[in-house]
Amino acid sequence: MSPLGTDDFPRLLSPFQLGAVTLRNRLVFQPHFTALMADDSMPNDALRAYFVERARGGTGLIVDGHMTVMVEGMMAPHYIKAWEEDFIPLYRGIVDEVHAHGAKIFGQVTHAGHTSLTEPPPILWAPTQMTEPSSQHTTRPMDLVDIQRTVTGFGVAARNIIATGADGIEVKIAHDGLLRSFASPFFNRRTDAYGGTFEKRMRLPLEVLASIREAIGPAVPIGIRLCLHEYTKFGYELDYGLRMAEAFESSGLVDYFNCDAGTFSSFWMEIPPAAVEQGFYRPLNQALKKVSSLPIVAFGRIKQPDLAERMLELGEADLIGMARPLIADPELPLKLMEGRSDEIRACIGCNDGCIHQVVQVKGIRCIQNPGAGRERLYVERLVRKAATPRHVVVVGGGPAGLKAAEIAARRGHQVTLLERDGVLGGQVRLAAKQPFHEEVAEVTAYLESAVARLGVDVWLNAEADGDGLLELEPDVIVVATGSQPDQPIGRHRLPSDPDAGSIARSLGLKVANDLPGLDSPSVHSTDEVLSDVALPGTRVLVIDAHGHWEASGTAEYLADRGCAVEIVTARSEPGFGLEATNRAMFLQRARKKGIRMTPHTEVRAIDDQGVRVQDILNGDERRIEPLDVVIPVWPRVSRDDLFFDLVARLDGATHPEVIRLGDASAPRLIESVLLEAHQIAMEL
Amino acid sequence: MAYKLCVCIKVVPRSAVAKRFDGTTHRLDRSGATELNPHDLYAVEEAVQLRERIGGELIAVTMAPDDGLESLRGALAMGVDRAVAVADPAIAGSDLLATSRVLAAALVRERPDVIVFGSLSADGGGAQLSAAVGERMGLPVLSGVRSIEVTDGRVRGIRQTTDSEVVVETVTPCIVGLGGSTNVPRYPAFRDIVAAKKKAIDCLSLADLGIDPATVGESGSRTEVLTITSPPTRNRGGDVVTDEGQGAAWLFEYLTSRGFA
Repeated sequence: MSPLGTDDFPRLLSPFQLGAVTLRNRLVFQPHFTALMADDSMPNDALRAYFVERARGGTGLIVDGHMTVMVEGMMAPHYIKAWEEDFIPLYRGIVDEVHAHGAKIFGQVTHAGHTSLTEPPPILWAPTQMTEPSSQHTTRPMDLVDIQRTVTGFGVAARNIIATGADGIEVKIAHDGLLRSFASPFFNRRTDAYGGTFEKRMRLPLEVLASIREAIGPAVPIGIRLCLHEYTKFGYELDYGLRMAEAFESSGLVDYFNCDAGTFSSFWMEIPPAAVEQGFYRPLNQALKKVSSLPIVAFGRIKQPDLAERMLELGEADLIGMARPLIADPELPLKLMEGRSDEIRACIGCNDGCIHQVVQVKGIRCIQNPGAGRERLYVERLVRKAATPRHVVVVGGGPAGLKAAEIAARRGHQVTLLERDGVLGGQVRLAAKQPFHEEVAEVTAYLESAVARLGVDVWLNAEADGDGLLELEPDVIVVATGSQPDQPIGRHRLPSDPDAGSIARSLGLKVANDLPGLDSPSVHSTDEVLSDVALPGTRVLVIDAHGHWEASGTAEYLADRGCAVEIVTARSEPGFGLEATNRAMFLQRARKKGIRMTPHTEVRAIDDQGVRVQDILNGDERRIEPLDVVIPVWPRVSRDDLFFDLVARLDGATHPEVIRLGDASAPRLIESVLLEAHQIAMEL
Repeated sequence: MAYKLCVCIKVVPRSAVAKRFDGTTHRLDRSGATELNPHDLYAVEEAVQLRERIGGELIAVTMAPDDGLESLRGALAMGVDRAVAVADPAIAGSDLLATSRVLAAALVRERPDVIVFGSLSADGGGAQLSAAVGERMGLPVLSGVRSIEVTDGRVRGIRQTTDSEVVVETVTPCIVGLGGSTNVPRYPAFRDIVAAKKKAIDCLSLADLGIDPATVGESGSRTEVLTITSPPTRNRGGDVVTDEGQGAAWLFEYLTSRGFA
């Protein structure tokens, strides 16, 4: 079947007139924090490369979410101090280069208000002295001087942004920040001119809009990123969001709406992970469209160009907002324009690279795109042909092997990929079976189609051995044979280390897998469970000593199949290593599904009836029984027999080069192994 | 007697690669990644199984671009003993007439007892080559069959029609054209992949075959490609409708509006 062509996206790829600004297509790179700047708050080459890459990739409009309006409004130091003029010359360079690639750029002006990414936060400003419910830090109730400074600050910042050559201004009345808190009946408990009635709650945002309009003149577009629904028990809902929109539109100060939802207290709705279905927010867009005549930017988990085109066709929106899909693939628009929609590397909604990083104020990343936030190092455009093409044999068709094969092939090497199973994908195929986790399969689906296009010779059902590999006379052998659950059954040990752990035990130290009863018939690995081996019963205990999806996703998988599941963990909650939005939603689902969660508890022994556990806080021991199935989940162990076999065969010879990659080197999450594969393949 | 079997195969652009066409020459751009014609996998499997039953030597014969020869390793790994490839720049643009001239010349050198063809090529789709080569070599052709049996110099095939199974038979040497997906092509084991690395791919030029270049390629062809373009993009699929209680009514309306009543 041929990929969808340019003709399939007539609306998405058509220009749009936003006030005086002509956008080349309908794709908007949504504002977001990248943490790419340093503490000095100045635009830098990393930020520049980040935006330029999206402009080069064909995005119509970039909205930069880093513009703060006053020192008390900085969510983190790594935002631009737009009220000062120092940033203008450097930022002009970004704007010029974005323009040179045919995209437009708006600055989103923001005041962090009662929310902060800094811990402990600096002073938090709010309409009323109260904590954001998800926070323990209270606020300064703003006085009239504060309010006046704020109104002025927005105007000054907007003027400075436009002085850089930027094309428009977006005002953040969105999932975080000061202006929404003033508009919100829950957060704004004032009784003066700025609170008490709907009109008074709208007053500060409207004064801000007027201040901006005055500062930048009538011709420059002003939009609002507007939170339409707070998705909290105490906050406002859609009807109120629409009422706000009507108030803003009737002011005549606004040229477009960019939709948004959620708050810090419902942060999983701000940056919805994969558990929130694609297109979930369409009813919000549709409702706004019914009451507003302004152009609307749709938002939220719109990753499929088909869906985007459909939404435009149905008149639900005029523009399509994407942040994560363009982080994962900056060339998404270009690929649509060139009829290469089948080459798009789709966002999987994992939040592990992007959100997980930036909430820790670390530079933005993407698990699939090593170039995200590191555009000058790893984008595919920079993958240069090798001076000397080599024959590269990759053993293992999981994410690491596939990525190495992809990049090696892009570099002009002759690549052979050997996979022992009948399908590619490795552990990702098991991971994708977990509830709400299907999209992770798109990681390897993308790589699989890439290696097919790039001419990699893929051999399935081909379990390689060291002798045969050398007979293939390759220049390089990349051993990406993955990992396996760390259990005594089939446990891998190095030839040189026949009894791994014995030294530690002799010193009286605890060895992770040295758990009495691990050979009990009740003990099963996640791999077995997700491969649907027959289990001896439905009473299940999962030991979460890993913290990521392997334990929690498997627990939920079994709960969905009618098992009575308990998760014990020595940490304070199961899924302790999950990204926050994913963890929050997992814990909510686990409760609903009756998964029993037992923190601060370690399993000390397994037997035929159940397990003996110890409360690690007070040392008390008890039994959990009866149990049919016990699933210990701790870090996996490398499958590296083949690597060491090759090393032994080569006996010091340097040709072929033998490289250990991915989980076969050290079991890790996808992001790490894909980056490692990219780096290694760039060196071949 | 030791049989000699040939299987004719083709290297085609990979199905995963978006096809590009040259508007001037009306040719498919073959410069990208290649693979063995997927339809030929069945021919190779059929031939390998036949060789496993009756013994002898199995040779793959192809007309291929120089840089696509590695794609022949797939057939070698499946069990073909060696490959013969006619790789000559002058053959580009050959039609059925010219292609059959080249293949027949290459096959004659091998003096095979049975020559197996797949049903068609993924890139050309002409599906006539077995007959054309049969004509040039003066050999009988069992066309459109789904199985091959060779016993004492007699070759028998079963041709499946809509409502019958026709058993056809001829004598060696002969050509057998398969009717489609007649088997499940094997995955070569790793050892076979390694072994394929060492098998010979003999490259022949037109001169080696004594063929005048003017009789092949475009100048040796009698048919002309007038245009070549991508097929129209597929229709956008139907709507996905979430059933919120109105699903049955929606479906009723959908069906009746299309004349289902």
